[in-house]
Amino acid sequence: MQRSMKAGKKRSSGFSLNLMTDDEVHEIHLATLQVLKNTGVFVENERALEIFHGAGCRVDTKSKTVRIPPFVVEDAIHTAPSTFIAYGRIPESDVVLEDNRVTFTNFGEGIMFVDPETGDHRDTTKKDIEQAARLIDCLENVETYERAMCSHDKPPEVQAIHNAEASLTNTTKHHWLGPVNGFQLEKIVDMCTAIAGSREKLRERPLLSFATCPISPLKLTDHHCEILMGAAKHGMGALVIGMAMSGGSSPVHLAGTLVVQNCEVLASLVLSQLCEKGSPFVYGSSTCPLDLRRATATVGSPETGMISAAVARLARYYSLPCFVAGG
Amino acid sequence: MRRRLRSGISASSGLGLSSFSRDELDSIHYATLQILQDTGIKVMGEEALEVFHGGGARVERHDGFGIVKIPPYLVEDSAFFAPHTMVYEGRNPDDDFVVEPNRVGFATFGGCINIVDPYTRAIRRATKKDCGELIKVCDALEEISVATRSLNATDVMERAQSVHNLDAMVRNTGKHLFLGVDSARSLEVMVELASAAVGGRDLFDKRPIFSASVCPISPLTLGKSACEVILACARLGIGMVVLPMALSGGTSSASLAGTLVTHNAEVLGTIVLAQLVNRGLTCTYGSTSAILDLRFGTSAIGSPEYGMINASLAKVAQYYRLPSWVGGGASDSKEPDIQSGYEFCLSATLSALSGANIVFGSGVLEQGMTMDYAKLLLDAEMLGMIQIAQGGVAVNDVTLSMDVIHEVGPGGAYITHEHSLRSMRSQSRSRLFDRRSRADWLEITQGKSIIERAYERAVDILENHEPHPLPEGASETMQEIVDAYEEELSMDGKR
Repeated sequence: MQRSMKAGKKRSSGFSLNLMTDDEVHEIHLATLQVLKNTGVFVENERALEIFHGAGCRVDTKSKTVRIPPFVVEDAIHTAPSTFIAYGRIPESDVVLEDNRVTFTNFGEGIMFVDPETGDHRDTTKKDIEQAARLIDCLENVETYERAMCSHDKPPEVQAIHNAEASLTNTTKHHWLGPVNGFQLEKIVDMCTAIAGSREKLRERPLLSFATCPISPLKLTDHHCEILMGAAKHGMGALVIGMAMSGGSSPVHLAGTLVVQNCEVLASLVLSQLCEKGSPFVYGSSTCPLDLRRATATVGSPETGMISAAVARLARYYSLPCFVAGG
Repeated sequence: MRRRLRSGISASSGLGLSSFSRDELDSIHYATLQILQDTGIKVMGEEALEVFHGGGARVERHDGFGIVKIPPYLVEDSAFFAPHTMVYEGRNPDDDFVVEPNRVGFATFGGCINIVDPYTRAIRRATKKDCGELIKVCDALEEISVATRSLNATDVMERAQSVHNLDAMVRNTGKHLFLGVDSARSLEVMVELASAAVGGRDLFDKRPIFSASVCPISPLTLGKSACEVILACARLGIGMVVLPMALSGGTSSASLAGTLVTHNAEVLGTIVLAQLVNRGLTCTYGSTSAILDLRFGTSAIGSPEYGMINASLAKVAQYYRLPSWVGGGASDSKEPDIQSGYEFCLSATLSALSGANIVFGSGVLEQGMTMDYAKLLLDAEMLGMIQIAQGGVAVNDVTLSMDVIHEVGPGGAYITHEHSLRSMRSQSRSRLFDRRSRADWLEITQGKSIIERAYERAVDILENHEPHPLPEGASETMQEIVDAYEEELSMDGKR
């Protein structure tokens, strides 16, 4: 039988979630702008306070509160790139993150480890990181690498550097790694430079992004600011992971939690974009509810998935690449 | 701060699956109409052939069967005649389940032959006692909306099995029942039995407490016994769920869209037959279609395709505004383990978010062969979680919590704010799932696995749950009906 060509019709490209209407996402955005303008965020770092002040924010130096006018927030959203390329050490490991494109990465960080040989539940070591990085390197469906554990067997002041060494030498995939503070960030940039060959080459293909977390509610700590400013300076990605606990450090209602977390991430975005317009930024979330009956963070609850899905929706509204918890 | 009412904005009522465009659903529909008109369906019942012929279908006679070619208008009329909204009524009115577009409920898998004994953990053939006991547990589980015959009474006279199944089921739950029917005569006896259980035939006719599941055989075949049961249901006014199990790559096209088309043709062809006999008969659009794993030769109901096919068919059913009953939550694993948990979660979530009226598949392992109490209890808990997710993130003045956020300010604590205490009940709760710290978990459970705790909970229900009581004297009458039917059948056998 002949089946001649049909005129164009609407097709679906796959399954997706219907989650929040445009109006609802806009509500969250407006609420966020209000909180940033009226309530403000606490900023612990002197230089960051100056940068905010210079951009037109109202800074109360005594309480270290920064109130950010809506235009500053919206400018930062516009200047941040919509496509993030997670460069690997080799081009085969490069992954494009944008819009609806979905990839997977492992959890980070576990502070305890179930030893695969003895079955013991124990502190993690640098060697565990090496092994985890190597394992993730060969898992096809894990496209990028988040530093999975922590070098508890090394001095706390330099653990992040050890973490980086253990990771960078064992996988070619793009790294999401927390440098803890500006000092260790610089050392890790040096390591990455050694791998890339030069600062210029690293700038061209940054194989690592710095993960950093604001503290809920509404606090940008000294180290958090250092990392944002350091990443921007070196042209490396900043992954800002909101870690609110709904019911503990943010409202029980998920919409309120989304607002608080959005304020924290967007305030971080503002700082990053004020340092260097267009510096790569990823909207992250590891927010979950605090089970008010058990007083534990319930990453296995349905709410964690709902929050993450809603964050992904918000990030798409802003055309920002995003990185959310799931699994 | 004063926040006056906004004029209407578009709001979402929760999470849903967006899948096909309207154009794509049209394409599936037109392809189905073509198949029914040009390829036709194989019908093996003489009487059914007559009905189709009288209704306007073209019938080509062959030896022992006929090919029925159904014109499009007849298909569309029939889908329209079947009711679009209804209630699955239970013996206990509190358990009535309202069936409307997108309202989602859950049920267990149907037709398994094995059970994992909750006491010995041995896997064995299911008996009539098991059939009833499993229903008793379903009765106690809030997440399970209707009761389906999950276990066959394999220890009774084979030709009376469906009567025995109903007998075991109806005694153990107040919820609406779904089960297969052996023959037209069995259905008559089942109506008699169910009437006794509700206190009379007139009461049963007003509130029929069971529906029959009828299974076309893929591809595109209505077997002799299915024809007999469909006609009997239509004549007695018993609602039915039409439940094909196409296996993509085996009994239907290896492409999923092709599988949807033949599956759809099988359901609609059956509905045509039923509506020709009894216009307005309740017909539920069913599916347990899956893929045939071509490497192992097994029906892979734990595969992602299982969820995809069934969620898609729920959308197809919604296109016809028919109530839907689709698979979701089944597993190929042999034990209630991490594989069964993963497999359950993907297909159950897809089917639930597609808005299927009943998502069935809880409790089942091993390609649908074996029921397991631990899996059932854990599945039920997860269903509660899926329902929470279905609710989505509500965005309004209350939930945005703007005044609270301002009051707590940067660096403050929400946990001590009275708003958190007031809103605490909106959080999801775990029962068997453990959310404690490792130290607390170890102390309270002694490290006992969740599987063990689930079996214990099931045994507790088995020993202590009291189902909705039968009317006085009903139990004895039902026993007499069952005995009389067995005798009738054995007399038949001698003749």
